[in-house]
Amino acid sequence: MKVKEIVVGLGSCGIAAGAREVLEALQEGVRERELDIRVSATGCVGACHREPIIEVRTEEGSRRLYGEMTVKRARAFLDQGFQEDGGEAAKHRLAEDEPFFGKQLKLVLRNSGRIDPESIENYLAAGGYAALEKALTSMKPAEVVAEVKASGLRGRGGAGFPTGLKWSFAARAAGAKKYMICNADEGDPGAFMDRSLLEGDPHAVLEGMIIAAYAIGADEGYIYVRAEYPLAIARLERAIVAARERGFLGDSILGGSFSFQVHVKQGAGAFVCGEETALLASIEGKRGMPRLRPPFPAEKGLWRCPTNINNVETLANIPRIIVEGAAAFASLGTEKSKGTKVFALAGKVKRGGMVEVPMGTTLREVIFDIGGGIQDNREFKAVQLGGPSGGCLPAELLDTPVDYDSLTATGAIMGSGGMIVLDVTTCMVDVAKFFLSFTQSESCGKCTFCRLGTKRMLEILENISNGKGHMEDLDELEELALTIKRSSLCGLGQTAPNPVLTTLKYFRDEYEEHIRNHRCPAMQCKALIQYRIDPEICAGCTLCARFCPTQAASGEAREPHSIDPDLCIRCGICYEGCRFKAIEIVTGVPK
Amino acid sequence: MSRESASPAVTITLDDRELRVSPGMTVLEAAAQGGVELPTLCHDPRLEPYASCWLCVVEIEGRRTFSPACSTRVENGMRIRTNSEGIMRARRLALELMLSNHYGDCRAPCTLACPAGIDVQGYIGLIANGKYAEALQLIKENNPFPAVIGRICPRPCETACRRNLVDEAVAIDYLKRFVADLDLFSEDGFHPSLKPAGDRRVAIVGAGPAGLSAAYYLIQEGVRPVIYEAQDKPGGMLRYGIPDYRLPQDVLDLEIGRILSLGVELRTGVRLGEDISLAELTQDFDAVILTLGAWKSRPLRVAGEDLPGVIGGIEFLRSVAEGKEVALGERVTVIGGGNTAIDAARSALRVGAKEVNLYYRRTRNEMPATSAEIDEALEEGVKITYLASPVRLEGTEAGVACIWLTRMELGEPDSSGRRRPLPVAGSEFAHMVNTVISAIGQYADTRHLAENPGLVDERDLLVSDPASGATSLPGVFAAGDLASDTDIAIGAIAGGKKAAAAVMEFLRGGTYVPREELLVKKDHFRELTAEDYADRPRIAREIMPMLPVEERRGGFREIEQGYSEEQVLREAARCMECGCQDVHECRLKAYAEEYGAGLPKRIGDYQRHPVDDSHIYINRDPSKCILCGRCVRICSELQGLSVLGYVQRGFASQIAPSFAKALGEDSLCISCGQCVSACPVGALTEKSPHIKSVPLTEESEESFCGLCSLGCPLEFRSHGSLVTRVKERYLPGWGGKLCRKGRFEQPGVNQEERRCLSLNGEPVDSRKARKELAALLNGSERPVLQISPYLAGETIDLFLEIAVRRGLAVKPGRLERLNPAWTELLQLPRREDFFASLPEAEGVVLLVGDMEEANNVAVTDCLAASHRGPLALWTAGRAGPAAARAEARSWPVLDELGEAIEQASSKTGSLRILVNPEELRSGYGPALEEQIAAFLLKAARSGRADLVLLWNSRNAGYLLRRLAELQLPLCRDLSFDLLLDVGGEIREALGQRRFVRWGRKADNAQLFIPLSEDYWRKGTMEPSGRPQLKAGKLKINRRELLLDGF
Repeated sequence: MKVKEIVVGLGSCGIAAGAREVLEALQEGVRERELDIRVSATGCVGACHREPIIEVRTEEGSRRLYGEMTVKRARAFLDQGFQEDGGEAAKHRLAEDEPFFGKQLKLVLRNSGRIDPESIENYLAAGGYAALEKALTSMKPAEVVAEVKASGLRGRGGAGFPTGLKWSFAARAAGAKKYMICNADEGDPGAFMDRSLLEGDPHAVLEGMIIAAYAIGADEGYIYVRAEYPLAIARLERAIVAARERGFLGDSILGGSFSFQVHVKQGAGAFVCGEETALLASIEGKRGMPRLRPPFPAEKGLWRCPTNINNVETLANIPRIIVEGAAAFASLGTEKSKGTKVFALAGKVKRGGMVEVPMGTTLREVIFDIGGGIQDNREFKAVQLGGPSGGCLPAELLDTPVDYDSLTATGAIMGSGGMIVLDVTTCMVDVAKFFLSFTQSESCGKCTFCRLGTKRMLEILENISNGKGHMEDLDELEELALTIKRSSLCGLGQTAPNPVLTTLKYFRDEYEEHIRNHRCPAMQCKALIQYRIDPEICAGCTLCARFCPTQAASGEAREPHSIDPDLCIRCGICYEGCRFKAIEIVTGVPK
Repeated sequence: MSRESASPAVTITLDDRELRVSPGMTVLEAAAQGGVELPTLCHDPRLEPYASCWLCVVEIEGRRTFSPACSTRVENGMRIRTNSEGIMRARRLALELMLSNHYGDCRAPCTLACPAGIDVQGYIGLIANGKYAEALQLIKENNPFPAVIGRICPRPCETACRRNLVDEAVAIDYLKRFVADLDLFSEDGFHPSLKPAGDRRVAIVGAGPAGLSAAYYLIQEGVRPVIYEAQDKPGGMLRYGIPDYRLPQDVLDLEIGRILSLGVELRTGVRLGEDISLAELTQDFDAVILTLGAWKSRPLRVAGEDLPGVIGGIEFLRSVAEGKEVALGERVTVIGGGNTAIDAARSALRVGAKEVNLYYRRTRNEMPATSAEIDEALEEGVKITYLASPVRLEGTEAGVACIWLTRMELGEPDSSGRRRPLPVAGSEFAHMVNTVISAIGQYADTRHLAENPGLVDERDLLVSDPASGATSLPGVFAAGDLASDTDIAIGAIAGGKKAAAAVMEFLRGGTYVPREELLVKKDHFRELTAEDYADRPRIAREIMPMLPVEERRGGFREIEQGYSEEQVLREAARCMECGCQDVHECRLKAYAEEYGAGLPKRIGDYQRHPVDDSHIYINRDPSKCILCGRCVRICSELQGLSVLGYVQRGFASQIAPSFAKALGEDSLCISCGQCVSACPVGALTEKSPHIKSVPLTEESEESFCGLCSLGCPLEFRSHGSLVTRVKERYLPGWGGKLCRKGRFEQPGVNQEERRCLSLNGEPVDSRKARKELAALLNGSERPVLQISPYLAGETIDLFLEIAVRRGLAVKPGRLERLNPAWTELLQLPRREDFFASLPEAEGVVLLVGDMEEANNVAVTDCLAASHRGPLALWTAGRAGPAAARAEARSWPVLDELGEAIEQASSKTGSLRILVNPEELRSGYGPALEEQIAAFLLKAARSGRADLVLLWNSRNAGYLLRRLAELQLPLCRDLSFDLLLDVGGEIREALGQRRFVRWGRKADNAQLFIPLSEDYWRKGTMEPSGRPQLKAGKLKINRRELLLDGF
């Protein structure tokens, strides 16, 4: 085996885990050892649970992935020549046939983790810009629209609106000046699909955007990306420069009559700016606040000109549709949801990360086959889909296929692809509270219900988790939730109650336990739990008393200790620290 | 704005009704056309649709969510439902959510504490503004006895006064007494207007405060009340229960006289049950109101109570009031702790007792008597012993001689919430007495009512509905002490008014239900403490001048002497205006009442921000803001400025001036007050530097602004003679805006009424004034008539006619100095649609010279239009701060005007030039003025530009053109010996010349003849760039006009 190249995954996740240091160590090591090995970088490989990850490519053409890379390990690997037999390397090998990769179908992510995102040559070598060339040289704009329509591609930003149809509106709209906008304002807590894509394969997004601009007749565009994605922005800007140099962007693209200018607009991180009309207001320099549609942006968008807005993942699908044709794309997925979908699998799952599966794959397959099930082999409780606008689905619904319509029918939504797995240690009231407090504090403040109604809902949830709830509160919650959904201008307000409504629907008994019996079954609500020391087990080691920040735990040495519930702040340090497992958490105990 | 339909109509279904409406209309507009007024807080016809409050929601068939009607456009075949249960619930919920975060006080605590609901804040404010008659009138809406109550009320209002948290309560009662006395002792006091008398008659039994109050309000409704009174004189407890040193009988007589003089019939010496029966009354009258009062003293329930020399407090006071001799002896003991007990003790001292001891079984803290009364009693020598209660009286047939009492201590609180007094064992003590006055309570004698089944309960108390005073007998109502156990006088007055209202409703065949007002109170969120008012300056309460103690004993002279006017003005200014300035106009309150929205049961988090009073004209209370965004949008869309904006997100969202500045410190703010006019609640309110701002019901007078030639439509709002505010008026396609001058700086507002004055400043009558005028004219060689261009067109015409008749030379205000080219320009054909067409205008508007101060609305109209659309705003000369905000081209030096016009007309086919000749002259001098006038004349003649001339006064252009048309000789210099000045605000160096003025200010005129505001505000006006309008008919009676015959 002759190692030809080592590629280090340099997505934000990898960098955070130390990939940059690994890259430097490898470069230095190769130089010191005078090895004939190329060391380069790529984007996110997807297996976040094993970052930093490197890929070793051999002269023979084999590719091997190794995870949990450290500087020390990297040096050792170089010394050992990646010998696998019983060595360190074997332990850290990510076998390609591992279920995490095996069950996935990487089409959108085809280049992520493979090519160097900062190299347009890499992208071109992988077949990049062929779609643009095909569209511009052999297709009329209307044909491009028709092709996308035929593919059945739906918007990956959350609402799932048919992309081709959306393009046709903008294409049809009257106006000399039109805009094409890429919405990269990914804001769901726990979601990182757009970021990884922009970091891993920026040209694919750019290519999709240029094709879209051609299709609708736009000559100017914006990529609206949050400022907290510095790596994505840097790679995008680099990609724009490279594409312009190669004639894929700018004036008379590929020598033809079509011109398209792109600007990167950094958003300040307001969640609501992911909403189309708020995003437009933000680009115009105004406060990001949605307005009523109609008029839709296709008719009156940026600076009152016809405007088309697509999500990052949507655009990344475009080049393949153009190159391979609508039929190839439509052959994947379900009747109404075509293609693949990228998810950010996170939470209490064993293997988390970027996951791409064909539409129609069941939740169970994603969570248990790809994700490997629940950490510590605890019991699965729920999966939260679609971020703050989505909902929590229970175990009974694990066989639901991931497609727009099946998920909407459950009360959750596909959303942009956030998938957070929850186990029995998660309190569902707490989960609802978490997402609602997010949407409440991200409400732009315009609509009465969204601004004030969500606040009152949150206060009710807080009362419930503090043991001060009443059964009538559940009716009030529902009335508020349903009215907020019906009486808000934008998706933020219209979906903000979803986490509450779905948890009420599927986990009502847990709410009732909090209210009626002052019990938090997941032992999470601090007002409802107590830490106790079992005197039979306690050896009187005094560790808990020494750890306790409030002197709640006390006792004589070698005598059973006790915890004063009035002083205890439920920090759990004693529980974590007890060597004898003498501390238990109880709930539903009157103070 | 111009969506008048040449295009075909669309058909919609509105609540099952088919309706044809214009396409492009919003559902809100379409519903209004169909007669359905949808509620909205965020919509403003002057602004782009927005949708934030979600009150105007409707259901549209096929739509998943509710639709905001204000921003949803109609579509053909649209099926709309505006009133389903779901819609109504959503609206109510929206209102409740807004109320849950609307921290303020709708009404002041004093007003809410008054049993009669008198608008205390309102009348205190009127008093502070010197409007005493209006204050009295406002009080009398709820209380026909202000002079009485101003003397004797225990003042729950003052207890509630927030000033208590700063220093001391405002002396509300003393202020009331001042205006009441002023009215009562004047020749022509206030008389309410009465509806024509009908044939309905109501019998009232009892001429006390409740009965007289009922009569007062009934007679105003056209009902004839007849009062039966058992005593010889009317007044009830006011006369027989309150000693003269607190309430002189002549004050009471005068105030009752005011009520009787309205036509109320009074029959004294007629006792119910003896002289007349209830059955007779119910038969003879359409309704009966029983106000018998509580005339019986409660017994002490101790041994020896029947001894001679033991008398009831109320009986004692009555004997004193009737002037009867009461032999008390030297040593008098009074039992009780209420005002009757204190009154009895103090009266006893005055009729000869040497020693008066008062015993009360609790402590001073629990004593029901007013604190001031207790202090005065102590001052006068009454000895008060607390925690003592009588156990038995001893004496002979000749009379009581000794009273045995026991010490008490306070135990657990009883049902009244006060701690229950308990006897201390073995603590009895005795006291020698000649008279014991028992004043531990009174009750009503209901013996004669008991004949009517159901009227009286088993405890002999009359049963009546507290809300209406209705008894179990149809048409029989009760009020006063009889209906409400025993209450204070103002409670009886309130009961009388309520009974009158209940009777009116009964006569109409209905049942009286008092109107429930939705009231947001700060205390509902959190009780206020002194800390909340730590920043308020402390101002001492005015001290009431009192009769010296040594002069009180042995007589019944009134002790409180009354405030002086200076004291009254100072005291009224202490009012902190706790109630919302917007209470009468608040849309949130009105909708909450309409939709039955209530305050939340559970108060959660709420936004509380300090009041921003940094601006001289605008008060900003962000805690009341409901974030409808109207202020933000009006400032940017109509004014082109964006002073206000949203900050923060989520629940913490609020609207604030830029960069967290105080509004008064934000240099972008031009004080146009548009934000105030847009605010549907009390978060932004007007404040006047000249008057104390006070929430009052208002009358409106439509007019146009005269302070520049744009003539913006406005309305003057007033309460009585107090002009409270000036507000913009919105006419379709025009108006809806005012500038700082128009809204806040209208001259002549709230000025004193004027009379004719002769040279030495002496008032003269109009006949004499006319004579003097004729004499001056006859002695003059060369008189000149100077006419102010601020006057209404009709007024100008009137004086021009005189000039023609007399051949007088005319000075057109200050305009005579202007270059004659402007007059020539005025006579060229003009375009009248300039401002109306602005929203869709294209091309360039060129402002020549700075017009922001003079013609602010024109500048901000252009600025806003340039922000919206393809219109470019260019400036030549010094641009003001607003115009400088336009993304415009500018030529700072006016000499480059030629280049500006050249560029503008080459860039676009449409060039409009706005110029104000007066500003041009004063800013750039006559040489440049001449040059530019000539230049513009050339441009206008050649058709390269449309020219709009703006002026500093309403009718300058009109006056100049009329002068040219009439070919009257112009006077451009000082070659006159008599100046006849009409409406002039201009003072000239007149030297030895004589000077006559018709106008608002006399100044140094030889002869001054006042012109009423009408001569400015009414009549024709000729706005620049807008069609000529009439502001309302000028009430000029030519016969009466002082110019008659001259």
